[in-house]
Amino acid sequence: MNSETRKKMETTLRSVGQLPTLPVVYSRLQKVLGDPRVSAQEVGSVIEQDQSLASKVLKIVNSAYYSFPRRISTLSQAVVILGFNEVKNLALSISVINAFGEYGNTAFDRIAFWKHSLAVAVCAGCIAKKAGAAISNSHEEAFVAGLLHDIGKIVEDQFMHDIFQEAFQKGQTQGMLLFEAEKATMGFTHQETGEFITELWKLPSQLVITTSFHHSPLGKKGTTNAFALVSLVHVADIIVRSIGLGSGGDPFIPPLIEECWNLIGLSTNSVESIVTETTRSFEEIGQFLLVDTLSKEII
Amino acid sequence: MILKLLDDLSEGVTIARPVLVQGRTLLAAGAQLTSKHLKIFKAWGVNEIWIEGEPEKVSNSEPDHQSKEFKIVLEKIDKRFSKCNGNSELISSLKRIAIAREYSIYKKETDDKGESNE
Repeated sequence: MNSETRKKMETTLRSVGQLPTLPVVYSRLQKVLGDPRVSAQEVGSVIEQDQSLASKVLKIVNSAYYSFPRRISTLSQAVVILGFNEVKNLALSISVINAFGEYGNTAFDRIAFWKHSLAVAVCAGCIAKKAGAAISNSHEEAFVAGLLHDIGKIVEDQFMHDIFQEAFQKGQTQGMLLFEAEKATMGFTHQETGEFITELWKLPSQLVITTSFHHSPLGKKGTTNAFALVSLVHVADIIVRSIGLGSGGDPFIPPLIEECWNLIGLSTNSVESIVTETTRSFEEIGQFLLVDTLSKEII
Repeated sequence: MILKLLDDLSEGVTIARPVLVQGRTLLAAGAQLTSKHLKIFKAWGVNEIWIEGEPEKVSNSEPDHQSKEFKIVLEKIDKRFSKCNGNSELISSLKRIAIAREYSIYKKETDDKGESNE
């Protein structure tokens, strides 16, 4: 990110006063998972400290999205079966959605935003499973990268509300992509805000990179792993916008960077099955991740 | 050859690519799928497999390209795709899928409205 742009964004965000934080339980989970000797039971105990998170994790792991043959009744069981990383990613996903729920009556539709983010998460995960040898990222990694890719928009809407609404309205009335309208109005985009916030939350560097480069992935072309994950999210964003699942804040599809699609190594014959699987999985997981949190029927 | 989710499969289809789990072949290409295979795949956590056949259309209803409804859908989709690269194969595929999908949704909504007015 350009240092001047970054400085401008930071100044605007810090002037608000209180910076956005993740729920305490996620910070505890990150700390506990930093110890290689930690047991599944200990991880389960940390999640249990947040009843809402614990209940949601169990609902999701028992849903059709995972389709395990047997019912999982305890969190430590969920940790053993899914693995530490997957449980951590699930906890992060739920925590982020919980932290930024509905926000009054504004033109920026937050429910449509979360639908879009969740659909990109599911789509990126689906592509990662099908992709060629160049993509070594797991579908769980791709899922959480997809869910967080536009997190900067929510932070702007909640903490820089007036100026973000100005950018949003400009985009709507002048037929611009939201990131173009952000740049024209605020001098920075949700990519810069997303980079700042994911660094603040001490999230893995891969997630920082996908939030800051998903519209400009060629910025990471030299770095193999980072470019692969950014490519997954970039393409998933375009696919989801094409089929109109939720809204990223504008009704358009941004330009596709062909190198990203070429790296993924799939043929266009696979696109229909990606779309089918994305819409199916979105319906399966959306009802658990979004309905209770946003207090409305989403799907 | 098409990729199908396990839940969408029925017995009798022909496997197009070997079904592998942890490097071991559960079922070879060319085999006919049985209900026993489906149970085994599910137990091993296999979610989808390649079968012989042509890709299905996303929508079952073929749009009438001259209809008012189709023109409304086309206008919406043209606007959606107005800022991306029209000469890309992926974008062209996505546009076809988007038109079929949007037309199907639009038809269903207008049919439902028609039924509720009766």
